[in-house]
Amino acid sequence: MDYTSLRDDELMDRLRGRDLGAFEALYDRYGDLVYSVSLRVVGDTYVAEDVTQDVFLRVWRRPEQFDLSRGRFITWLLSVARNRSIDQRRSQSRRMRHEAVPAPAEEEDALPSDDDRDDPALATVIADDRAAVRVALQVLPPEQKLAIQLAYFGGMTQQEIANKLGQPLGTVKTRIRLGMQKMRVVLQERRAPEGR
Amino acid sequence: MRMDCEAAREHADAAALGALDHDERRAFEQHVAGCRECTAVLDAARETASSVAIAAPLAASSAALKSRVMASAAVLNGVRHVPQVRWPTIAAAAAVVVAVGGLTWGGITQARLNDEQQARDAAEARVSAQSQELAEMRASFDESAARTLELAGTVDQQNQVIDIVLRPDVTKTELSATGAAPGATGRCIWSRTQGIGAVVAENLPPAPEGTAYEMWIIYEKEWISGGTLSVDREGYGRLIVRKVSGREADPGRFVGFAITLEPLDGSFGRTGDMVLASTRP
Repeated sequence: MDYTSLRDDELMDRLRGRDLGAFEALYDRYGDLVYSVSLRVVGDTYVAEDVTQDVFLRVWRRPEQFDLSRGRFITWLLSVARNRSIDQRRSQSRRMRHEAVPAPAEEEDALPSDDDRDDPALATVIADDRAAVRVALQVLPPEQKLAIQLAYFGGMTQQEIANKLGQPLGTVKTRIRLGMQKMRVVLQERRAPEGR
Repeated sequence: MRMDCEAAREHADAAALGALDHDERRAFEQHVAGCRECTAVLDAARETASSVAIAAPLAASSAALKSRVMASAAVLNGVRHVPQVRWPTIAAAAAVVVAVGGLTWGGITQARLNDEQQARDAAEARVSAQSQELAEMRASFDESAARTLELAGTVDQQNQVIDIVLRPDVTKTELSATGAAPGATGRCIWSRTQGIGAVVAENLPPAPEGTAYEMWIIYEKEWISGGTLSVDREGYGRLIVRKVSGREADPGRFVGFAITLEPLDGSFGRTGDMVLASTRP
């Protein structure tokens, strides 16, 4: 069985049959991506590793939670990874009794990235996606991009973003809505028919 | 706060980014739970939100992390892995599983396989032997070890339990209830050479005030404390035992395990009644 040629949903079907090889193929494909998202959110390599482990073990334990009719596997996986990372970040903040963990988006612009690190397993799957997203993000005004970043990586609500930026809540809501709409339109235009 | 379709669709992008406040999120989720159309809008918004992550710079995770994840998955699956000295990483064990399906681990090309038919035959024979061994190990694996892992509360605890389960001499022992707590059950995994293990117990009655459940490793000459169990409201207790040591240089023959009720402020040796025990010393 050549797992590398299987689509994500096919690998997930095999996961339901407790196929460890399929699980490893998914890890090889998305391990670095999940780790990167987690690291971006929690800002600590050890915590990011724990989150990555936790995310993949959830996939392994509960593959039935992925519903192909609701969207692509990568969307679901990244949603799990992001949510778990935000939970961990909040837990860290509570433990430290102050907001010691800076919002990654404040430190540098996480979007878009031009680093096509040599990761063949990932590149074969999401190279087109990354290219499409970069184009989509280039059309966003910086303030829309920042609001989206603060929400996604910083785990901030719209009200928290408004407070942080000193902007009215309505302005932040508009920035997020318009930014997401623009991205959606560009992505729909650029994305090839879904293969995975 | 109630939300109609129009409002829900306005909130979908923020919801997908996790940016709604508590009340908004609650109202949004209530609406979406009963509205197929808005669920589809949310799914599309999630697709866009995940793009933010896809474009983010990539960081390389360590090979050790992969080994940890694969080991955890394999343990949860009930596959007992051989000691590291024989197959250095869990990937090697996974390779056998893959190889059973007819492929080699590293993606060797078909052309090369054709050229190396003889070598492949020999490899397949080895794989067959290894797969047989793996099947036997799987059959003999203690389900309770996987259950122990499943019930470990944190990733850190999971890793500790995995560390114990992967020890070559690990054994599993069922703990039986005594008259003090007739409904309780328990089990222990234990590496005798390393002096480490994990204990889980279920249906423990609430410990009387000022007392706690304490686990003991019983030897002929001495009962050595493994520590006190953390017990939740449902009577589920757990303890990871790390490197116990007793007063006696030679405590004598190993006898078994027990859980007793002991004063919270400590005691010299066992004083309370046994609640669970592996044997009746």
